[in-house]
Amino acid sequence: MDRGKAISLRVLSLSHGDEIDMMQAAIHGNPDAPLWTAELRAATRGGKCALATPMLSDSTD
Amino acid sequence: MSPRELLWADSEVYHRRLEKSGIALIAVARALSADRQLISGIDKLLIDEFLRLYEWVARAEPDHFTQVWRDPGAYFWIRRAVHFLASCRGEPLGTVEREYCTEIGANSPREALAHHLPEFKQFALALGIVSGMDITFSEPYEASLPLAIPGTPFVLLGDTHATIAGFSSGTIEVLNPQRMLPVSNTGSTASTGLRVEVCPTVRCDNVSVFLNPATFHLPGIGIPNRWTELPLAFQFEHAGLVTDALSAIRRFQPWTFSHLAAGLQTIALKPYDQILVNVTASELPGAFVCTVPSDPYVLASSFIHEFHHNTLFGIEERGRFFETSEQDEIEGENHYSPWVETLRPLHGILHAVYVFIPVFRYWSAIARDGSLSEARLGFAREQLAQIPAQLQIGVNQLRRHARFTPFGSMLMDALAAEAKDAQTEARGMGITLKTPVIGVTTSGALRPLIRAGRQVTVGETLLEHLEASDVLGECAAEKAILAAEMNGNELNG
Repeated sequence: MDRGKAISLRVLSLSHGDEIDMMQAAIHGNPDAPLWTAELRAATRGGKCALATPMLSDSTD
Repeated sequence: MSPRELLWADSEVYHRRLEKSGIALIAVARALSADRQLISGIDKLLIDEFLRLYEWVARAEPDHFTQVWRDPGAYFWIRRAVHFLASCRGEPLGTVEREYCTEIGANSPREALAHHLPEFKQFALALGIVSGMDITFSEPYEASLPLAIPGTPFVLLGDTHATIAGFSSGTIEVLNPQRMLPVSNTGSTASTGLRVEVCPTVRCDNVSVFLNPATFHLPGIGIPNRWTELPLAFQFEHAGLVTDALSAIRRFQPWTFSHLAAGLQTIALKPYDQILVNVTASELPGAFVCTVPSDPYVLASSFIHEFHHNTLFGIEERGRFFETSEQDEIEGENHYSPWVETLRPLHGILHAVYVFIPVFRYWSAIARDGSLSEARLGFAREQLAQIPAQLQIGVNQLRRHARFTPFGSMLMDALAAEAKDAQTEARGMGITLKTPVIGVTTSGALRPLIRAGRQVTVGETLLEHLEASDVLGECAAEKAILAAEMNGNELNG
């Protein structure tokens, strides 16, 4: 299975200290630190792509 | 990296999202251990239990941790933890968090966090299973069923809840009454009562995907999910169809196939209903829902469509696409979209433009190959006629109404250029708006759409859609061009 590189919390805590600090600052309300990325708030509604594929009744078979 | 490489070729996008969720886990643990004021009012024992389990998880072998933490549900869990923690000090709740609170009956972020933190035990349980290490919970884990055990094919099934004490010697210890549930690749032989079953794993070359609807059994996810309680037999019944669809992607869109191993974890199959067809949730990276039965080549196009929603959600984590404005670009359903019947947010239109470009390329490859059945080639021609026109309207709508950031503008320009390329390509293949519309029956068969004894054309349906759904008259120019050019066979920008 090719799932790409493994990650480790211990390694991340050393290699991504600035980002961890930023995330922690965001949790604590630092306005200069985005809480996550603001774009991601709602689930997409792929199920509503109705025009892409009209559903027909099987009775038309 | 060029905008096109960023949009289509950057396979690191999935890994970065995984890393970010790991970073967030560390930040949450530090916030909980460093600032008891932030979480005043939450049972200290509950915090201590989380921190104890976190330390245990942090010591895991990277391969084992990654297998568990790559699960779509891990991202869902850590984002809720971050947002509920921030809400404890006053940050407003987001849409997902509000729905989560409603579903679990929480009246405040603290109540929600007190419910949410113990859910981390599912990842400790999974890590125990994956690594073969025993783990005992100080307080039993009250799991809502069905529970997809993260990073594994195992699903805990039963009535509504299970009280889990831990994992020991290859078994899940449950209480009330106490018993040991074996976790094995053969799964339970029982079909009722509390049990561990194994979902199908579909493999195609180096792509390995769980067919596991329980992944979507989460509070606040925003998708009706009664179908997640269907027996796993439904997934097994259609596993061959999924293999065929993955093979179709490998054959006709190998560049997307090359991303699946890194970016796709779980597909949930559901039967046809009137509520939803296919769907991707921003909060479950690497997972989507598709309706079956279906023609395998149509299902492959749905996979490409849904998978690219996942990819774009990952790209979005690099930075905002939209400038802040008076309208809500993400959730404000304010604008005509050529893909749906109701008004949509600009964010939704952007997603549609993005995901339909690779879908167009897929059907283009099939049409050029020419070796599939006439019904499938007819469907391909319909898609090649329809998608470029929809892309152009979508691009026009974004140009009219969106205020992009420099990052968003760069990507938008690349998407607009590709929409133009699609028009040129379809025209070069002799595809016109007179192409018959092909519908899909609930059994997956492809049939021309017949009305008043004759085949309905793509141009007619596009025009009808504009007339019915462009209730604000935003696309009057496109409508006029389309009406005038129905005989000229092309839609100009």
